Amino acid sequence: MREPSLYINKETLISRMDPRAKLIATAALFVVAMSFNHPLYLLGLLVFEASLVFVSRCAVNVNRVRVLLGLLFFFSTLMWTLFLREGEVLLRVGPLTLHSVSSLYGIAMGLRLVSMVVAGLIFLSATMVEEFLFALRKFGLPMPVAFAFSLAFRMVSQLVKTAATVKQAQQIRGLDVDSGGIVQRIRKHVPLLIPVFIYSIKSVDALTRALEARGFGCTRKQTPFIISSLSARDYAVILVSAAVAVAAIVLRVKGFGEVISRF
Amino acid sequence: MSEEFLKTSGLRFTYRDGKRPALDGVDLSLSKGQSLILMGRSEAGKSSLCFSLRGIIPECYPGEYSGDVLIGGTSIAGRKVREMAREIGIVFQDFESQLFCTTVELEVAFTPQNLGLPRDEIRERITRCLNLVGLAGFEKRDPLTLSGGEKQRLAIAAVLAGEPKLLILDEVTSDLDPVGKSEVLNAIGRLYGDERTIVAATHAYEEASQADCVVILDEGKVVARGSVADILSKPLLMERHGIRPREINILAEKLGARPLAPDGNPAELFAAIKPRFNATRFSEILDSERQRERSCGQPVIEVENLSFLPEPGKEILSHVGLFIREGEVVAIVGKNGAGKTTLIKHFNGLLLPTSGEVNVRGVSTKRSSPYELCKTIGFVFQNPDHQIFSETVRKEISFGPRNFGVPELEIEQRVSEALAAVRLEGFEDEDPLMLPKGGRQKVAVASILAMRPNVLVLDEPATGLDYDETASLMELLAALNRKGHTVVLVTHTMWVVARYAHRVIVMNEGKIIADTTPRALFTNQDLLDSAGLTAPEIATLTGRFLGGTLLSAAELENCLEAR
Repeated sequence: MREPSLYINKETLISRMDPRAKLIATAALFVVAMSFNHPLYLLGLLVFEASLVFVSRCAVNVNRVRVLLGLLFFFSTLMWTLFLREGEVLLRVGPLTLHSVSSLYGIAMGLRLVSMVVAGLIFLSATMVEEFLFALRKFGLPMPVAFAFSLAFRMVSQLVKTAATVKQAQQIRGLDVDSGGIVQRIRKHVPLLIPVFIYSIKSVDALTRALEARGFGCTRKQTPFIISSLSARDYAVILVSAAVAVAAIVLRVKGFGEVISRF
Repeated sequence: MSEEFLKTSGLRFTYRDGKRPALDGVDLSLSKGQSLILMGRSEAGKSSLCFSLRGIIPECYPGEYSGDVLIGGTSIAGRKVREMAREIGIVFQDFESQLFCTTVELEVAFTPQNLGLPRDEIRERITRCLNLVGLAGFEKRDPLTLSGGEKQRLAIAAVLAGEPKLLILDEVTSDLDPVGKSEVLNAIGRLYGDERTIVAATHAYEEASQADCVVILDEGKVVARGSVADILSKPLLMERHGIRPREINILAEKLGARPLAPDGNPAELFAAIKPRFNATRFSEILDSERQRERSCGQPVIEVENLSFLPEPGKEILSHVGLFIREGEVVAIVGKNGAGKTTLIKHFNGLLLPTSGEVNVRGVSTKRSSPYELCKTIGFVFQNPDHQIFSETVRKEISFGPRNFGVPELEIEQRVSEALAAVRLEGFEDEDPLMLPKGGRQKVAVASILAMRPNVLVLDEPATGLDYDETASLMELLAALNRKGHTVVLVTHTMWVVARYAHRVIVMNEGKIIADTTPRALFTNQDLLDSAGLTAPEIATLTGRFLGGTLLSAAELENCLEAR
């Protein structure tokens, strides 16, 4: 069985927005996250996103991925802190050194990843796949491409579930993928990958058959069932988003919001 | 007779790499508004015929195709599958892969959207089709949150929304639990008798009763055709072609009485046979059951007060207690979502209790691991395709023993033993993925047997298997049981429970609501109702007319003496 999607069927300020406006606003959040590498700026962004999580009532989805968010933050902070050597040395433990700028940059990178995942989550929680499809088509993507894109979203959770079952089925025949050297471990993944691969091909085959049988692509003029028009509020959101994105880039070029000059 | 609507002539098709034709000269003809049931064993050609009627064969499958399909007098040759959505609808067996929208109403809207119909018309069709399958009020639900029966009814509504004149149903109830089955059959029942022409493939005679005629396929050929009453009253013919017949009719045929028609009154059959119930033989059967019960060994699996909550507030198992003794065959039954699979995954440590204990031979699963436990508990997953990965049957079966460092010579011996047990000798060098579903299921069982576990736990092993394949798999398990294996199986198939289980555990909403014998279960209507189960017909009828509940045609033959 597939997992229900991330979409939360609730009437909120955000879910009522036109999907095009939502998509542009999400893109603007991504631009802001990518523009700065100072932890305070990114923390500000995250606080703003937290208010959006509250408005769109999608805390339940953020909660579902809290472990992933924690791991993302932890490892990204750790890696950048350890491997980038910028600024004064704060601490030296054996071969490892902790530099002042690197640790700030590390924290910023952790926050950047988290804020981007949260922005994506807010979008997916408040947007039906069909609305997303509508927005993509309005932006000029051809129907089959846009549809394939939206189907991919749905297939991912199914794939994860299949992989979990296959892993259990091989585990009880004595497969232990977590031991041995790197080459051995890769070889041990063959019994996992083949069933998942074959299963995916079969489901894609069945899906194609079902789509064809339901007349997908039989006319060029598919009637849109979900239609949405841009309201004054949506235009406002689009304008503000664009302005914020441009402002973020300009600020960064002028040297604000950075601990080092790399992105 | 009204005008001929559907006609096939000399339909032949061999899949690329197919060893024999999947369809071998099929000629059919059906009038407008008539309904036809296709029956036959797995790989008899039912699905291939359904796909050909819809044009999916030859468009989506490479192979050798000849013959013709005419709908309303016009050949469909050369027409695209997608272009025919308005005239011919098809619903597939796998209900998961044919739903792809976010809400129920969008799912139903999909076909008319593709046909380019106006939005008002689409709205009307959504209401009409959802009403027809009993899903009114579900419009805004996410299809993924529906039960199996609801999903399949939605798939039917979604196809009906194209308003096809010919509706094809390809084994739409095969993957459902008994509750889902009856929901879907009720919905399909409402579609008969309309203008619509229906072709439905099925394994189960119970699903044929409302149709006009039946065709039996075997090895791609039409081997019998006739009215429903005509075909269903030929139990030996059905059995010969791998279809489970009404057990009561096997008896009638043996005693030379007229078999029961689908709508016939069983009282008349019993009046005609005038059976004499041999109470002595019946009590012998009961005695031998008690004897078997006494001879069972020590508990091998003990479950004490087991509760399982994958996340707080979501209780899937609640205070479950049971034991499985050495040498038993135990069936676990109940609706989908009752917690059956979750329970058996605790037996080999794939899941660990949130509270309570599961002990295998006296050792808590918390102090062991699936890696250790699989030497005692062999677990066969529902879908063999979740484990098969090797290029030969031999390699697939030796995978387990090899992981445990069993010496090569012994592996060879174990592979031969396991193959002999599942009667697949000679298949060592075949590609397991090319075997039919029943064969793949046997390879999965053999690959577990090769690890020589004492207990076999199987999760719905009959899913997707036909009558012959199921019976053969169950005979195999019964033989292993006689050699000392303990067998635990989760199943929806009540005739399997009746014929093979020693004991049956009934689950509902994460709790065990009964731990009893099949005979006691099938006489307790309240219990059957609360677990969403239906007793096999033979148990109900014998209980009613003979005063003793019999579980199989063999028992019936044993206890009856015709006058």
